[in-house]
Amino acid sequence: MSDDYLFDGGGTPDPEVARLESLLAPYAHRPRRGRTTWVALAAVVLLGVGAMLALQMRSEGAWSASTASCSGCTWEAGAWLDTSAEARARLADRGEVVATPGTRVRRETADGARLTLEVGRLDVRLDAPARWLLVQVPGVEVVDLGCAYALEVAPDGTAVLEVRSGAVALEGRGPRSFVPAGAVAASWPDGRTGMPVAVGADASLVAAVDGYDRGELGPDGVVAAARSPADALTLWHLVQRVAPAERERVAMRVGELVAPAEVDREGLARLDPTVLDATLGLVLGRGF
Amino acid sequence: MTTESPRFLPWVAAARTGDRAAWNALHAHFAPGVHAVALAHGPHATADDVVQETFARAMEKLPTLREDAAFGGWLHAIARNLATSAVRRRRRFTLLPERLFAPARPTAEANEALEAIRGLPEAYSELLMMRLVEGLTGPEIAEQLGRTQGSVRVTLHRGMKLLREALGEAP
Repeated sequence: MSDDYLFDGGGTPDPEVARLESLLAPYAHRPRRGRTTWVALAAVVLLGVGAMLALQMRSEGAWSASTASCSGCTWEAGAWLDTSAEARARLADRGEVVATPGTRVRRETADGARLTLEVGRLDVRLDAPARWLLVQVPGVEVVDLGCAYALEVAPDGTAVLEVRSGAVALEGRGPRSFVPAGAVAASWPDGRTGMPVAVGADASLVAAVDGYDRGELGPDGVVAAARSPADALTLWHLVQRVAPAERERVAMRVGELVAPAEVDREGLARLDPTVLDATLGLVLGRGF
Repeated sequence: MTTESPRFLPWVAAARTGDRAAWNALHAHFAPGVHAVALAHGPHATADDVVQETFARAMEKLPTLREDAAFGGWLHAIARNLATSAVRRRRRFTLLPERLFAPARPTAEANEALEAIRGLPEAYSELLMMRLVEGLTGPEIAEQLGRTQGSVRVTLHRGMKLLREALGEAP
């Protein structure tokens, strides 16, 4: 039998290949390419007047929210969502947000995925390209890099981010923070972005990082309290924030924690972009 | 024989400038293939996480990619590394209600087929996942991986032969 069908779907269908395709199709990445379009087209042909519906299904889709008083209501751009009880919002077909009671969050624009979280907590789950959703918290932008995360803003505007899957970036007026799954970081209304700390890190490291982020303590406590490969994530950020004279010591500690033979400590102290990338890869591979 | 430029090249160039629409296009184009790589190396339940993490890493590391044309192979290498890392399983999303995002569970018959594909050498298992699970055609696979159509055809043919044998031996 020709393998044309196996190669490009042409020719006479190979029964075994067709059986496997049918059996395994439910486990494909969603939305499926090609077949989704075919289904949408078929709907137009069979239903006639269903064209508009099909077009809507293929677009970004609607944003909707379910709250204590309204189930599945459209969430218009510019509208605030104030929650007295847990509320759930669908962000088109790209993700879902669960807001805890007492949350105040606004959908900003109709032509982009942008929220402003004034206070309260959001649990976010996305199936979208990186940077699809931007959440503005006081002073800082929270940029998804393909992920699930929880984000909480206190009444004083301080935000705490915990990432469960993928990664998130905090972008403010200070250095950018890269927060991967399994890490937590804070931000402040004046635009400062905190260094991430691994979930489960020793309390002494958390206290040292908090003091450093607030400008109340120097870097010594952070370096001393970092004891595991996961803690090297914090030091990877620290080396980019301390004065040049301090970098070598921080880079040395990163190497000790992660892989002494593999970390280019001199390059790291120079903040060489290639070395920074390679080191981050080692940190994520060994620590998370 | 003419050689056409991969259609994703303009998207990679635009993505380097932070163009979100270009990232959308790259995600739509490559996500099924990346998902297939994840399935070839790990359970279905974590494949979506691997896809998300792969694109997150790619976005961070794109400035280090030297040749735009190598984007597909480079992306799949990131996915392979993530999928084969046992550590990543700890990163699974745990706090939101599972029922909201519960993945489909393979049936026993499907699971047998998936396991049989995973049991093949990597060169075959990844391509068969792309073809049989994700529905990509051979030419699409060739474009995404930067390989010739001839080599993809041969690999699919040999892989399918091995898969038939593996399934035939199953009880």
